Amino acid sequence: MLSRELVAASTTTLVLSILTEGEDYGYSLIQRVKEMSGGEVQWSEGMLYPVLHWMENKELIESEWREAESGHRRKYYRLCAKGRKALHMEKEQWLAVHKLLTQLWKTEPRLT
Amino acid sequence: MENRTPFDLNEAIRRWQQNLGASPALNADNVEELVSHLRASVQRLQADGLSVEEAFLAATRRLGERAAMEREFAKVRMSNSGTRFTLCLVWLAVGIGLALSGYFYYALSLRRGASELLLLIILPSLLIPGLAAYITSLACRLAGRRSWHLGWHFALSGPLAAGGLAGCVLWLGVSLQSGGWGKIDPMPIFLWICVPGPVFGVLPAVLVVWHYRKKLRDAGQVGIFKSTA
Repeated sequence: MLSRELVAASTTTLVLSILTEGEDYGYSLIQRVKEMSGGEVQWSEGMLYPVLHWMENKELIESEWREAESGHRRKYYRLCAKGRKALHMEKEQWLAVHKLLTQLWKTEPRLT
Repeated sequence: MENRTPFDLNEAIRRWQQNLGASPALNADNVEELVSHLRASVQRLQADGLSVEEAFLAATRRLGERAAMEREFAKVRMSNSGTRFTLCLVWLAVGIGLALSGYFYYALSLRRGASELLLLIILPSLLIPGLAAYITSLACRLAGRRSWHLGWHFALSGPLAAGGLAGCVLWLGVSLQSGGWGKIDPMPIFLWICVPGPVFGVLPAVLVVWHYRKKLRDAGQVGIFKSTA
């Protein structure tokens, strides 16, 4: 499992990246990250929402309440233009770190 | 044989929602979103084979500790520039009000024959509203990054303490100008001590710092994310 610090540092980037594939809601975001990382990245469930609201305050994402299939209301988040720009910058930075570490450890980059 | 009432999920969620809704850190929108999350989580856990009651208990546990959640929601609210701006305006108004009340006392003293040289004492107290605003902005930053309880209390106490201090300075100046140490009028100082100044300003700040000192020390450990340690 990833350290708390690394999970914290990557949360915004992960949320922005998932939302490039389309809008999504909190519970689904948590499940997707957990499944895609094979359980390596686990967010404390209730704590994701303050992060989403912070991102909304920063106009990186926007939200909308809609009715789900169950009949209950659900809040969906989607990426904003500012979020796309932020993700572009984040991506460059993460790739720079990845490249550097790959060189230092003399390992082959893994794409899967 | 034990006669047990069947578990009512909607009633359990309603009670949970009511309990969470009592928190000042969460608004109705926040609570509704958490309820929506809880329902999705219960549904998934039931699909995995848990009973409805087990699923509810597990889902609420997975949401995390309520106090930590409240803290994070409050931080986000405080990081909102609109909230910060409103808070600054409110407490700036309080600071200005307190400083003006000091000027009012000064004007009354002038009518009673005090020297205009008092302006030398008055002028520094013009800084009071600025000081109040500065303390408030520091409090907001503290609230956003560290302990929001402490920040809020500082935001409340700072301008009051600043106003109280201004009042004491003014009272001392007026009294000395009126007739030296021997003719100090006890009423103004009594009013400043009892009404707006140190009692409502400094003392609560000291008590709050004392009470929340551990929380402030631990603030670095209270993160948004699970510790893997």
